[in-house]
Amino acid sequence: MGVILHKNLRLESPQLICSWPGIGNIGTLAVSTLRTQLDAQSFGEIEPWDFFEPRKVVVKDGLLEELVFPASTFYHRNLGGQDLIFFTGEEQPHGDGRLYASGEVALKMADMVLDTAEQHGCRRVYTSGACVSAVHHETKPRVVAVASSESMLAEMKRIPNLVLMSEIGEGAGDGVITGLNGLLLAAAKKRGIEAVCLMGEIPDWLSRTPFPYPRAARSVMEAFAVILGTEVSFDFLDRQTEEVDKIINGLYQQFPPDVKELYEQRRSLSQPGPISREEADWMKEHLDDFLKSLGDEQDGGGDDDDRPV
Amino acid sequence: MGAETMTIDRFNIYKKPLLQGGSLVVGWQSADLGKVGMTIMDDLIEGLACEPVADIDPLDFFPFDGADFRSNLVQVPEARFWASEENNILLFKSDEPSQQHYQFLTSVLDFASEICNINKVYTINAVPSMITHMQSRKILTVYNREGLRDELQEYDDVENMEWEGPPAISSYLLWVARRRGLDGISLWPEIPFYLSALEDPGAIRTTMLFLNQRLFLPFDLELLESRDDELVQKMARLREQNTEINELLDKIENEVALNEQEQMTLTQEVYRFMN
Repeated sequence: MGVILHKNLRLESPQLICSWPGIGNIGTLAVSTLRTQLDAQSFGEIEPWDFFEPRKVVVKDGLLEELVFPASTFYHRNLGGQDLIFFTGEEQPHGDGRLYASGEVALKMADMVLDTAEQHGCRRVYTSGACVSAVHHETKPRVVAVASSESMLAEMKRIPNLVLMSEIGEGAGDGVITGLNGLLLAAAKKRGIEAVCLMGEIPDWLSRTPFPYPRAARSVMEAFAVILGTEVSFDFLDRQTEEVDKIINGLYQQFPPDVKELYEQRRSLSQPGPISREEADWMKEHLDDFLKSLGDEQDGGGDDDDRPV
Repeated sequence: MGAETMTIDRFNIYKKPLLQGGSLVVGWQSADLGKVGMTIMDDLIEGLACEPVADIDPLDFFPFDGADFRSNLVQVPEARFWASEENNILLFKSDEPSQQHYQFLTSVLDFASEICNINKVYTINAVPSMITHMQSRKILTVYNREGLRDELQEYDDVENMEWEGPPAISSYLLWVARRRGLDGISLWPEIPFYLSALEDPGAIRTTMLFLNQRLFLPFDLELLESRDDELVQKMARLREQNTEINELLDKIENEVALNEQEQMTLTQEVYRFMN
């Protein structure tokens, strides 16, 4: 089990920006788009076999050419004298069958990411994910921040369209960030490394669909652009938003009229918050069957010829 | 990339067999189509008078959250090595692990290469095919080193596999073997799809013939031939008694594809008749 570094880089206090797949793939979309635009170059990877099962085998003319595992890759870019390390995981390690990483295997991966970052002198870590919220899908998602220290929170508050978790609901900033996007924060704080999670808001009902939510990824990417003091293009995410909006609006048109009426009230909320118990119950009562039927449609129709070789 | 340190406490070793540059043959008990893997392993164990030499401790690799049972009998996960020094062969008869696959496969190769000096790995599997029990069985092969292609072309009934999709544990084993510099070949004999849940002596015989030739084994194929004859005779009786089944088998023989319902009917009727 280990990290393979393909290049020996000498970096100066790099910032680490990480993402793993999660709700709406918001963090992954934002970080991958940013990384691609900045043309960050791969310099290392985490050996996958202790964390993941192979996804695919390629056998050509009898020869086992390749076994494909989910990748966990480190990238580097120097941006105007500022060293950046990106880390993207294609999957969260989930030894016990859960979608999100947990337990020993998750801690091991978090430690390997942080060990590599610290080896290169990193003192600040960003992760990114989703904040399930009572927003309307046509409003601009805000970015919600949770950080390892008060000073980091103060710094984050200067970013436009960014709010602290305590500002958006009844929970006084309490909650849980599930999986590695959260766990890495805790592991970093334990090591004395500054850490922030930037979460794009996603409407509650969309958090239970399999679609990506690029609209929120755009908000997160805007925040990163401010943090890094760089200009980025949003064309890719805007095109994705247009495509996904077609699907979302198609679904929304099928909402029962009473649900639609209540949901539309969200447009006028100036400060929508995280989901209250009442809202969660209401959504569950009105939309769960509908969303489940969508899931069933997505799950069906598997390839008959998917026997493993 | 080479072998990692071997964790000896993962094994219960009963004997360190004296093998040199021998072969490891692996058969999986789980999803054993046509009972090809297990029949070959059991036949080899008995026919070559193999003795048990080690077990892999199952605790890390199988869920111990209850007891499985088959035919009213409680099952314990098995991961056992057998050896025949006379034939320079190591066998590994095992359930497929349900967790920590990489560590499990590494353990298999640790024991095989470091304790038993094995340098070639063979896995026994099977693939369902739209053929009848009267047709000869091809063996589709997957190998992990380019040079093995030419070696395999010397054998009758062997064809190279084409596949891109989810990996079987045998493919994973071949990949781990290649990382350690060990040659590996997976044998995937075709079986008539309707014999998937039954024993297919035709596929077993074809595979055993290959192993006999490839590994210079003295395994007597006569018994397998008589089991194959018995199956052919039973199927002939079924065809006589059941016109629908006869027509479905006719269709396959004339290379007419069966639809899903027809495949199901044929499989169920054959299974019922054979039991």
